[in-house]
Amino acid sequence: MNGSTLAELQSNILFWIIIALFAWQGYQRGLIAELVKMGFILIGFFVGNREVLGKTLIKALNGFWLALQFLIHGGFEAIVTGNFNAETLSKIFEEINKLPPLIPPDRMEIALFLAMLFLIGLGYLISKLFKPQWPGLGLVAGALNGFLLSYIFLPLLPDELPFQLEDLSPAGIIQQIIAFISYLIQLFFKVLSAIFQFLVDIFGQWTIPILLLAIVIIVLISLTPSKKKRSSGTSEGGGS
Amino acid sequence: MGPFEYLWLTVFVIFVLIALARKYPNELGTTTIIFVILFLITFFAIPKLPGLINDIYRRIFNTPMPKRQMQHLLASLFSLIFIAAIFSSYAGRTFAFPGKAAPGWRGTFYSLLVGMMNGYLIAGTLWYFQDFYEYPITDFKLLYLPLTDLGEKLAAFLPPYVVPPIFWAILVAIMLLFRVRK
Repeated sequence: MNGSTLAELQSNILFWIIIALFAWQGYQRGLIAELVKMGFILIGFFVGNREVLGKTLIKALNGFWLALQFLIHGGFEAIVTGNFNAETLSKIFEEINKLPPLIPPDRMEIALFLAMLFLIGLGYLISKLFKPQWPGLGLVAGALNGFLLSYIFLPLLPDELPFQLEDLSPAGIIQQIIAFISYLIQLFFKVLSAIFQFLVDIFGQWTIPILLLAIVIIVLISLTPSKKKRSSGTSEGGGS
Repeated sequence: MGPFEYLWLTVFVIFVLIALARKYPNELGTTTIIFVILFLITFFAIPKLPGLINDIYRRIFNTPMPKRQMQHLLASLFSLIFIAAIFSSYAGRTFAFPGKAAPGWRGTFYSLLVGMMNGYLIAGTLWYFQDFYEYPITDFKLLYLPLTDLGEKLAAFLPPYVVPPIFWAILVAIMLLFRVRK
């Protein structure tokens, strides 16, 4: 069986697995949660599509960025002090026109993809807040969500699989497993470096400090206080 | 031995695994120690220590210390101090954060995040001591230059290169604030 036939077969199997999984989740979560999730998936899909809402979103974000730069580069001071004359304004605009946009055209695809992932993830988290109601209808809505997500993400799978199932000897299988793992590692680093590059484009030299700060705050907030009052926060034996 | 960056990648992976095993409330203690030691080294030691060592050396030998010798000394000294601090944060009574870790996959995800951060800080800082002092370790024929293209790219993002020294102090303050509050 060659790579492309196998990839097609894999996509079909994955399609039904995703629908079944989401239908099961819909059954557990109920109709309301699934409808909320569906709303976010649809918004995410429209935002991720540059022809529908993508371009508008990028334009809006770049516009907000420009307005912020206007305020930072003297606009705020001009408004507060009332020194709002043509010379000051033209100086500020001259300065901010030299700045690159927040999301340049060559970064549009990755920005839209991240925005779509963010919205879908947000929908998932928000849907967890609702109490399970009407599980039967939730099953149907969940299956529909699975269908939508398959429609969005399955075309992103490669046309050719990174392995062939021609040599089925133990050595051949091990070789293909290694090829597949190395493909996954490369893909992981590719995605990671694309996201990192996108962040560097936005935050420049402050990317790493901002990332460190974000991780520290997210993780510290996630720690729930212990009920028992402890005399000290130390632990013995390597802190296990 | 293979490319230089693989050594640091291995160190990074080891610390990610340690974080997954120990869980993130314990690992945050190590993170705090790393921030403290990075602040002390980048804010005080790196700008002041070379001059101090040179003065002492000049008084004893009536000549300034040769550049390569100084690079060897500083890279080794800072690496040893840094490793000792990391070791102390893992051994015996550790500076753990009070509070319960998030349950399930969220807890694992946070442990992974903290492990990646600690791995980056530890491997990145040890690499930085080599990079900043022009790779003294290569004189021992343990590792070889030049760096690969990937290594060159990664070397530009080593923690002390991209984080201003005072920012480490800000991070320590935030950590301590949360520790007291919890």
